Amino acid sequence: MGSKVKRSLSNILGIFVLSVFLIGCSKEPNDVGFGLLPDNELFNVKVYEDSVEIYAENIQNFISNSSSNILLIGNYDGISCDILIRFDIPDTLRDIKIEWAQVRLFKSGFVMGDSTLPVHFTAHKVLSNYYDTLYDSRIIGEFESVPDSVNYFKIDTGVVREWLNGKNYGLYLKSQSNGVIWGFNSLDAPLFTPALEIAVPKEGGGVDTIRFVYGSDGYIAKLNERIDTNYIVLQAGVGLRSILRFNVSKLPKNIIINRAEVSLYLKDKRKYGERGDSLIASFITDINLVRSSTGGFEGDYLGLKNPVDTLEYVIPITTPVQRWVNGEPNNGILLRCLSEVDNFDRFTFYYVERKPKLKIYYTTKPEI
Amino acid sequence: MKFKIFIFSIFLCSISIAGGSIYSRFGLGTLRFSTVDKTAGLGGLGIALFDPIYINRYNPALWSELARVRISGGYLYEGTAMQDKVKNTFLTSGNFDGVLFAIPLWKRHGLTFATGVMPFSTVNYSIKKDSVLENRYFSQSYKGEGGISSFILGFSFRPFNKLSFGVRGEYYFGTIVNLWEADFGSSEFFFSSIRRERNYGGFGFTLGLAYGLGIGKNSLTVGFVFSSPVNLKGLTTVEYSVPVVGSSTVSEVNELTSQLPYRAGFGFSYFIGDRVQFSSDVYYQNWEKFRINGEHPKEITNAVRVGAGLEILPSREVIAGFFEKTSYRFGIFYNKTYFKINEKQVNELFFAVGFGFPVSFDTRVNLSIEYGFRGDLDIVRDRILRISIGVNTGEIWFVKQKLED
Repeated sequence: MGSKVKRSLSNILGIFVLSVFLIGCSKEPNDVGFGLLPDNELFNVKVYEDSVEIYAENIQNFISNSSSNILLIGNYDGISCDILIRFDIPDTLRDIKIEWAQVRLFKSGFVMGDSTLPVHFTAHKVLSNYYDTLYDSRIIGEFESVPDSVNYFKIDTGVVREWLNGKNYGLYLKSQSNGVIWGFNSLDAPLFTPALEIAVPKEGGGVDTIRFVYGSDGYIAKLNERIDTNYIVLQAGVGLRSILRFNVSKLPKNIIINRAEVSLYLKDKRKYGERGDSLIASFITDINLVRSSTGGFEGDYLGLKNPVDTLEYVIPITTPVQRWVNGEPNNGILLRCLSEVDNFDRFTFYYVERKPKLKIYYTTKPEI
Repeated sequence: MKFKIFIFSIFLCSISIAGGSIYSRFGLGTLRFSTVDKTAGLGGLGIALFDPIYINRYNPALWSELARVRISGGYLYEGTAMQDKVKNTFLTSGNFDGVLFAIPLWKRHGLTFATGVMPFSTVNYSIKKDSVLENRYFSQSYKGEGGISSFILGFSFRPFNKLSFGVRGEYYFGTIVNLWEADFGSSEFFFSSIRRERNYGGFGFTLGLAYGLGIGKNSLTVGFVFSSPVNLKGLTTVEYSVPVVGSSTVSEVNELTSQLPYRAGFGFSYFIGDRVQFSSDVYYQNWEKFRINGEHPKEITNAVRVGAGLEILPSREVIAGFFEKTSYRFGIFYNKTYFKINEKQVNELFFAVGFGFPVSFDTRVNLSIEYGFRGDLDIVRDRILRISIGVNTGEIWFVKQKLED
């Protein structure tokens, strides 16, 4: 390469580097020239607030506890818990003789209420489909004691015989005690699971014990209380939820929702454990399915307590509002506690005395 | 080797960084006149700028005087200080500024073919406005980038000794992107963003005439150019996002039509002495006829540009020193731009100085510095600094090598 060519190349590179250096002198853009933009091409950011056209409806859904590691039984603070359990029994044993039959339950660490009180429940045969929870009123077994680490109660061998013959719809353990709810390990627990034990006579005397540890179980929690419609009440465990509806028809159609949030104001809170204080909102796609506890909602939007105002809970509903603005049916949102299983935390929010507040930040699109 | 260096330089120069005048928001952006070669130092004129080593960007008739295969191109740095009555800012950009390639085929009659790509307009602005709504901070950003370029292919011909004409076909193409953003600076808020992309494409042509073509003392060359109206067609795509899972990005696509108006110019150049050339141009653009989707933007009006420049080349001798062979250029131009904001036409006044450094016998590196003003404080005043570097090099092609026994 000739010296002149080298020199020209170095000159070019030098000036290029100088240009890059000069470009580095650039400042941050600011609003100089903003006034020149045509009004119809501006991004208008606005806020919409409403505390009037908000409607709440408390509902009670069925909460499935079938995958829980614990089985709860007892009555406490208007909450009633019963247990449904069915052991898988092979029909190859249908001809065996049964000396006695008992159910084994291991106590879990869960107790709600007065732990000095005993748990008292009666056992009943489930009459038809396990999930129907229709049970025979005849008592086939009973347990009443402050639970020990392992607990047994005898059940009618005639019922076990029916199970061996194929009519195995399970066992319903109905709570008879008050003031406490006790927890036992479920079939889903990793260790110390419930078992059905059958004593079978041996030839030459004595018995053999056959233990069945597979099957299905769950507990059924109910709330024995009429909910005051002047409040929005959410309670975990018993499926107390609320449907909130908002009228967003006053919003312009062609907008982008930057943030939509609903604020609820706490009247009363009952905590039964160390669970968090969070709420969850979901977009309702089918109101009938929601009411029948068979789905009908999607999306989880986490609502949190305002760290400054601890009575205010703020739930973001940006996506639901955008979907309503886009034209999807406005069935409202389903509001519930974050953790509804093995938890009975209860939140009561004002609805009439202090209305919830909807606040929406949105951007109108430029006319382009 | 010279061509390799040239290509390498173009590669370096193709790096673009955004930030410029808000005026480029309107119409097709800021119109680009020649800003990297020798004309940049002469006030950006050249309709009659006669030079055997210069591929004229304005007038194809003047390609007839090229003696060798030539290639030219360059890089432009532009710094824009924007100011209104309250605030100011300084934004910069750098960009490749086109490349031209010319091949003389029949020197006797000035038959030269040329091709290349030239910038026609540039959109390059960025505005950010901070606001507070209900105690909530947010910022709005308005950005634009892109522009229109033209691919040219044409020829010149000199039927008579002092008269030449040229014609070039032009394909105008490019993409102009506008961005709207609203940012609340928090992950709790959805970031609003709209992107509009307009793609343009359309054919036109430019005719040029030149008469005179002398390089001696008192030689006068006059030139005339006319660029045809151009129908641009393309698509407008508007994309924006909404906070909905699954169908978060919405695209709307529509056809786009636009009409570029005719443009015409007249110029002359005169050799005051053997080494001193004075040039002047008038260039008119009928932007009242400009349309986008059938509508004339109210911010666009007719434009006229006038300029004058002086070039001094102390010596053409091979044995002369570096500074004697360097060209010294001075220029000025006044431009009634096609922007009309708030019923007021936006004008520009630029001063330029340039140098044509000799690198080898037939290669020059042109360095130009322009400084000027656009608009006034009632609207927005731009103070603009442009530094351009261009390379103009030539080689002899199509010459048979003689073999010695």
